Order: sequence, then C-alpha cells, then structure tokens
Amino acid sequence: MKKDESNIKYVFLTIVTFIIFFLTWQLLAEFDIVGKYMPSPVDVFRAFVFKLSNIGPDGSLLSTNILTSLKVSLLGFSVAVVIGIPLGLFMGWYRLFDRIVKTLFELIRPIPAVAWIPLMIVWVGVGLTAKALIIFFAAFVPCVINSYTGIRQTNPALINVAKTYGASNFYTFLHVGVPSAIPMIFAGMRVALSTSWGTLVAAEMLAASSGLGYMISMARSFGRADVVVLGMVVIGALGYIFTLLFSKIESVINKGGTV
Amino acid sequence: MKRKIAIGFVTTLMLSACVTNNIAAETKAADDFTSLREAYADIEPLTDPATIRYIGTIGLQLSAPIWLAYESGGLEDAGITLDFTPASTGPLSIEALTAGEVDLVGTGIGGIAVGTIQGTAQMLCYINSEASVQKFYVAGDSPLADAEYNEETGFYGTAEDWKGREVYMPAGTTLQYLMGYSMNKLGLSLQDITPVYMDANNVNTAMYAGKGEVWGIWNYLCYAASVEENGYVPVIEGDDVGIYLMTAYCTNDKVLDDPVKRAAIEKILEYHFATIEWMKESEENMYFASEVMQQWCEEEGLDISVDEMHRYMSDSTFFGLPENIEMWTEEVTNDHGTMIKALDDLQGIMDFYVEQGNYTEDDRAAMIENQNELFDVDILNAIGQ
Repeated sequence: MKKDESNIKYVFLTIVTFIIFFLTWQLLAEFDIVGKYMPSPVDVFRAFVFKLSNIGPDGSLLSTNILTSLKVSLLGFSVAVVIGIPLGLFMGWYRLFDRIVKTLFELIRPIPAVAWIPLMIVWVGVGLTAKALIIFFAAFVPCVINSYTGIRQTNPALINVAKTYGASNFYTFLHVGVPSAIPMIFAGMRVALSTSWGTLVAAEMLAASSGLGYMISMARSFGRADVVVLGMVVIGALGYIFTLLFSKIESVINKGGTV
Repeated sequence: MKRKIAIGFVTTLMLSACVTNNIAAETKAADDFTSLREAYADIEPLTDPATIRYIGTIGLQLSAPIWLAYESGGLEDAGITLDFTPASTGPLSIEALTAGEVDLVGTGIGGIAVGTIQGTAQMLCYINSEASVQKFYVAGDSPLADAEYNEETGFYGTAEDWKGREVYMPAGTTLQYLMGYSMNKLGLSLQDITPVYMDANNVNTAMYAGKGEVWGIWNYLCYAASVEENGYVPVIEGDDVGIYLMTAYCTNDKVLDDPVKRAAIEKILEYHFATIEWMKESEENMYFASEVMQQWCEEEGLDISVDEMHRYMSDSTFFGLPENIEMWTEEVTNDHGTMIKALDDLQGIMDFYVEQGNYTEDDRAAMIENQNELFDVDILNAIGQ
C-alpha cells in the first residue's frame, strides 16, 4: 500500500513538473523573453503534426527521419558495444594487454566525433558505414571505460575463492570478473546510447538526405526553429525510451544483484 | 631533467609566438592602401562615432568590399569601429541578426530567403552575383568530361548522360538549386540523378578522395590550382546556365531606428560602393584587393594563394550604386504579381525552394506583400544624393 502511494506521488510530481516546465516555456516564448527565434511548445506540437504528413522543409516525413536515424545510431552503438565492452574487459583484467592498448586508446579518446568526418570520407566513403563509424567513435569510449572500471572493481575475495578452487585465470575472468562488471557495463551502455544520439547531428553532416540530425540542420537553414526544437525533442524522447528499455533488460540480466 | 625540458619547451613556444607576431606586423605594415584610401577622399566622417557588429563569411567575394574598407583604415577614419564575427552560412548570420547579436549581415541567397520570409531582415543592397562561382566538376576520365556542350542548356551532357549520376552537393543551397535548374533544362528533376547531400567542405574532401561521380563546389574552392592539377573538369557553371544568385547586406528595424547606427550603416555602404568602383577601375586594384583577401584567409587558416584568390575575385559581378538603385526602384510584373526588380531576381530560387518543399507559396506571398518594408531604398537614395 505504502509502495503504491509512493508511486502515485512520484507520477503526480513528474506530471506537475512537466506542466510547470511547459507553461514556463510557453510564457517565455509568448512574451519574447528569450528572443524572437524561440518557438513555443504549441509551435513545436504544430510542427510535429505538420511533419507527420509533410516532407518540408527537409524533404522527408518525420517517420522516415526517425527510422534513418535509428538505423545509423543503433548500428554505430551496436558495433561500439560489441568491440568496446570486450576490449574494456580484457584491458581491465589482463595487465599486459592493458599496457599494449591503453596508450593508443588514450590518444583516440579525446578526439571529437566531428573530427573523424574527413577521414571517414577518404577511408570509407559517405554511406551508412561511414556515418555509423562516426557514432561508433563516440559510443565506443564509455563502453571501454565502464567495462574496464567495472571489472577492475571485482571483489578480490571472490577472485581468491575461485583460485582456491583451482579456477584458471580465464575461467575466473569469465565467471567472476565479467558478472561482477555487469552493472558498470550497463551504465556504460546507457552513456554510450545517449552519446550515440548526441552525435547524430555530426554523423549526418557527413552525408544525408534524411535523419533527425539532417532534419535539424535543414530546418535551421530555412529558419524553422520549430522543426529544430521538434528534432531535439524527438531525439530526447527516443533516448529516454531506450534508457527505459535498457533498465528493463538490465533488471532481468542483473536480477541477482551486484556481486 | 623533466622540469628543464618542460621549461625549455614553454620558452621556445613563447619566443616563437613573439617572432610570428612581429613577422605578421611587418607584413601588415608593408601593405600600401594609398590608392584605395584616395578613393575614400570624398567621404565625410560620421558626426557620432559608432560600433557596428558585422557578421559574414571569411574570404568570400561578398565580404571583400567591407573587409578592404576595414583593413585600409577607411572605416576607422569615418569613426566606425567594425566588430567582425565570422559565420559559416547566411541563415546562421540571419539568426544572429534576428537575435539582435549583430547589426549588419553579408549573406548569400540562403540568408536573404530566411530573412525576407521571416520578415526579420531589411535588405540594404545587393553586393554581387555569385552565380559564376557555383560549379559542378567531374573527373577527367568521367563520361561527362567527354560529353558535348549544349548551347541551349549552357552545360555539358544530354539527359541520358546525366540520368542516375551520383552528385555530391550541399542540400538546401545554391548548388542544389543550380543542379535542379540545370536538370529541369534537360526535362529531368533531382529525382532523376542520385543526390548525396553533404557539407560543401566535405564535398571537396570527397572529390579529392575520388568518392562519387559529380561534385558541386563553390567560391574559392573552385579556383584552387589542385582542381586543374588533378584533372577535374567543370561540367556545369552557374553563369552559363543563367541563374541569379544575389548576395546582400541586411540589417534589422532596431538598427535602422537608431539614428547613430543608421548613419554608420549608411557610411559603411558609402565605403562599400567606393571600394567596388575602385576594384573595377583597374586590374592592378583588383590584384591588390586579392592580396588583402588572401592575407585575411591565411590569418584565418584558409589555404589559398594570391593567384587563386585573384581568379576567384575577378570572376564575379559586383553591383554598384546606380545598379542597386535601379533594382530597388524599378518595378516588374511576373506570375506572382508586381514587385521591384530586386525581389523579382529572387523568384527563380523561390520557385526551386517551393518545389522542394523548403518554403511554401504562402511564404513567397508574404515576401511580396511586405516588399516595401523588406527592401529599404531610403539609404541607397541618401547615398545617391
């Protein structure tokens, strides 16, 4: 009963927060307090309805833009997860491997995704692969760092128990280290996912004829601030949906709790 | 030991910075603006000095007159402090103007369209036509390089030659308009080719990387020696196809309502027209102007030689005061109504924007309805007197 009451309170507070936020935004836009260029929530909603069935100003429907961006973003994210997580785990567990790889990783880490665009054009061209690689470079870093940190935090007592029972280093890595790192791995994947969304605009600068980032860039070129904000809201909303999905998956996989 | 190395490194850096600054100062001092300053001799200074915040793109033809007036000290003599902000595109400049962050904008047709449709920018004058610096290139071994020149269309190739070609160009820009306009001349549309939309600088990168078939590049990128050296051939050029691509100065009503700023804007335009007349006077003047522009590009990290800049600067039509007064006052009637010639010159690209869904016919109608507010002729008339 108490838990239900708490949930109801939480939902109520969330709704109230949203209402206050949107009202404030509407007032700020209505009275030009933040400048002429700021669309109101009503303008953004109208732009949303418009984009459901109209291709202007960017040439594609909102649904097309969402699907295109999902393809690019999820492809880049998936590759980042498949490469980044094992890399981080191995770096965190095997000292020699860490020493070999770490310097190169630290050199690549601070390079912003946009900086990779000219090289991507030369190496890979301008298709989906190139755009996904831009996303990969952004999402890869949190996957590696969190996996690395997660496995390094494995309880030494558990490692010792495994060794006492004759487990090999690799067996201990796989059955003690990796499960222990799961909460941090999932935290890294959440960060990587939001980074993937955040890098969409940069990736779609490479070459695009649709996509949410492309829609935002084009809307800006034609003075459609309402469509720009719509793009931002949709990116945010999709990011939130994926975060919720992730939490569900994590709670299933990590139902035993932290090791 | 490590500390000594670090101190040595930092000291070297500091010394090299000082040396670089001194070299830069020497080079600037050697520039002789005497001839240009003589062109400003009849211009009276302002009664009240003013600071004008200007936004424009570095190294472009449209920025040349104001940059020359600034670099020569002409604007300073007039009592104008020019606060220059670089921008990458016209629409971004108009954003800054709308937000009240700048007083004067130099922009191409993208910014002109946004500003006039939103009603947030007043057009002061046209600077030049940049049709000549919009070009599409192919590699020397491309079938299009061997295609016949069509006198009727003004570019190379037939409809069959162009169908399905992969064309790299920036979306929503004058290059996309040029391609659409050219394809229409062959009875085709943008759907009959394979457009790949990307930023202009990325198109340039793709061209040199050999990715793609046809590349749309503009401004000084077209005049780089490496274009010819690498065997790239122009197959469509804006001037030959017959499009109008104006660039303009814009301001907003807040600036025009401020008497001090309005007087300063008027003075800047006086210097602007005087500079254009001076550039057109002789080849020597145009070459000097190119040297000044090249120096500016170099300071900002843009790689272009003086000869390349000269070819770029020479390949343009700058509009003087009489031409502007004519465009701002002469009325024409077309399918969309009666309007001044300056607005009529925008209808070609508006047709394209409306067809692409970037703007609507309502947007065009608003532009035409508000033309008297959007195209300010008073300042031009004041200068003309």
